[in-house]
Amino acid sequence: MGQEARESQSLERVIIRTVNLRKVYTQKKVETIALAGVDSEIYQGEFLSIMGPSGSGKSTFFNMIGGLDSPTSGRVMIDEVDVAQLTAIELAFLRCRKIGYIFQQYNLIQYMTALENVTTPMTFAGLAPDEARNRGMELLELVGLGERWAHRPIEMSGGQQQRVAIARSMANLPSVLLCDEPTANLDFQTGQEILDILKGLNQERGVTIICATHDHRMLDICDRLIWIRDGSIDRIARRDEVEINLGSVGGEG
Amino acid sequence: MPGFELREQPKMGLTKLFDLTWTAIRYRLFRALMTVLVITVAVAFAVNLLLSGLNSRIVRNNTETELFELKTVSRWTSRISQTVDKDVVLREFAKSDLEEARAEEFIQFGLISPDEYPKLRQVAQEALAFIDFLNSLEYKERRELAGPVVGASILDHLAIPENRLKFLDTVGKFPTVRMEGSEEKFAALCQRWPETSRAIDAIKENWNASIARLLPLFVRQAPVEKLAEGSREFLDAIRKAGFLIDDLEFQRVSDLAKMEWLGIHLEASFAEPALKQALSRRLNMLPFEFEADRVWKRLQSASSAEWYRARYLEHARERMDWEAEDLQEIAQRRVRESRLQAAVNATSDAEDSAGLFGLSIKMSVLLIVSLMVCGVGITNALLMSVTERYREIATLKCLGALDISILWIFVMEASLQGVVGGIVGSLIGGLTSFAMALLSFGSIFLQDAPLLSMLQVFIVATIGGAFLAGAAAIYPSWKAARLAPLEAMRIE
Repeated sequence: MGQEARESQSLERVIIRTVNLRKVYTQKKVETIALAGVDSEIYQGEFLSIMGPSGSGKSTFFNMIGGLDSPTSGRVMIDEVDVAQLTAIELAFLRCRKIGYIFQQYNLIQYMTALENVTTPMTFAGLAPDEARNRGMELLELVGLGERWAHRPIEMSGGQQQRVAIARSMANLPSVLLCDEPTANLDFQTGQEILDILKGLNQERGVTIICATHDHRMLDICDRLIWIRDGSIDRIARRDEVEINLGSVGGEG
Repeated sequence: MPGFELREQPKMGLTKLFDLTWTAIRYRLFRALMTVLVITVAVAFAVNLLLSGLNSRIVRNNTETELFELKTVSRWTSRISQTVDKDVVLREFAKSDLEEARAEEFIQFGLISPDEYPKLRQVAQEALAFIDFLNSLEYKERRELAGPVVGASILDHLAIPENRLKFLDTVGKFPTVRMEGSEEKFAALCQRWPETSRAIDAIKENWNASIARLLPLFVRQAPVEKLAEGSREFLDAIRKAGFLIDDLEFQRVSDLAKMEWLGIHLEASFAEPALKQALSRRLNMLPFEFEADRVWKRLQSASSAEWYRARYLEHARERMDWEAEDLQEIAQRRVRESRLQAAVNATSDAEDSAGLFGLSIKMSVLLIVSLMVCGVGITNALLMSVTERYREIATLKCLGALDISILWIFVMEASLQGVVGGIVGSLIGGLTSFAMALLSFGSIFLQDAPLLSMLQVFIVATIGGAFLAGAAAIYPSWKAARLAPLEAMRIE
């Protein structure tokens, strides 16, 4: 599939849309504005990077579109459904089937083996144990850990744990994958492997991938970039435009 | 155009949830065991308290009835030969509902109508309780409250209204003295007392008169000996004097008195020099530690009884006709009596059952306080185990777990710990209370150990432990489950 064809296709369909999204944290009567009215659109099948300095509201924005946090005002629409209107049970459904999460800290469940970690979301979705087991093994093989399905997180390296986390996030075949600084805790080589897997998922399975990141290698593989600064969108750019300005980006960071 | 259909998230089966819980417990086995330990200690303590109270109450009830039977003879001898004063009459009268014949006798002695009898006895019981209460005070307090009078006269003194008011006034001054029952009840008691007092005086007069009529018979022979003889003339004399006794009862008392009389004779024979020497040697006692009780204890066996009979026939100055089995039986009765008496003395606190589950008030307070302390301990242990797993809860929520599933996981974990703690705790508590009762009451306790009640307490403690632990886990885990996943992660 050619680059342009893919982009034109993805432009047709918005999977996540934010409308005037605001988030204000109130602590001891001091108000901190984390997001000051953000409008954005994220298209199906694209690889999106969200970049910005620490304290820019990047993480808040990221959590908001994942349904992990509720906005003070404004709306988050996932597949044209307003997240704020969902009940607790529907939210659980959304997190279970529609979105996969990958964290900087991996967040694997310590007392479960790799396979159990991967099959747990399937159990929540009501999949039969045998089926869950088969799919879990498939996913582990996809991330290259088929041999180590019986190992606990404590027996694995950081990169391996992150790969298990990717397999787990894909458990119920979600359409969106949210990655919160997936490579920040890893060395250069291992980070590259993780990025390759993510790129593969995006290209082969058409999964929408949203990454909050500081990692400049992300510029090579993402389709689009959003810079956030002081609670609002500073700049949105396609990759081909960014490569020219790479110098200034490095200067900014 | 909605991109996905929102169906209800399928609820997880309990088996799968149990699997999750079990894996989690196994991973944190040490912490789980600590929680179990706290629950175990709490349950063991409560079960021990409950069962100890139960055991001593049962022992007391049984021993009191048996002791009453064993003391039949001494009751009868003192009844027909010992002059009584008002306090003794009051005490006997208050307890006269135990035997029908005694009640009738009192009705005759006191010239009371049978209809009035229960009312008067009720007053007598209240009066007795009041006097016991006063007697339990320190001398200084009692003296100030009721003057120098003691016993039944206290109530005569207080029946005068001025004295009563003064009494109530003075009671208020002592912070340590707490009267049970209301002032009205006390006033009613004082008002009804003169009537009862008159009845008791009449009983005393007539009773003493009856005894006076019998006394000439006891100049040559002790009352026990007279009873042991069991002659027809003596029975007639007792009846003529005004005591109520039927032929069957007389026969029974007489048989028992025979044994008693023989016992008295034998106990006297222990002290004869030749026999004392023989006994000391045989029982390996030094002369100065020679005690009748210890001799009786050793003479319970057939061989010892046989041996003593031979010595007795050889040395005794005054001889009665008896067989070795008689000696054995008397020895057994004597030992039994002193054991029962000891048990009654040891369980005197079981009388008071005003608190929870028939425990005394002091014990109930102890029970409640200890349960509260343990409750706080358990809640804290569970709170800790929830708090340190916030990240895990948040992760599970990100993976699509329902709030209720997370609640279930923690409640189930706590309940499992509660069941284990409950079982182990009630076993420990039950065994210790059993051992304690066995140590202090011995065979008296074994013959009617409350096994069924123990089983009930076990079951209740186990279920209660699980239920309470589960309940204690509800609040912290509900709080954790309700948090948005991100907040939960941020807390850690």
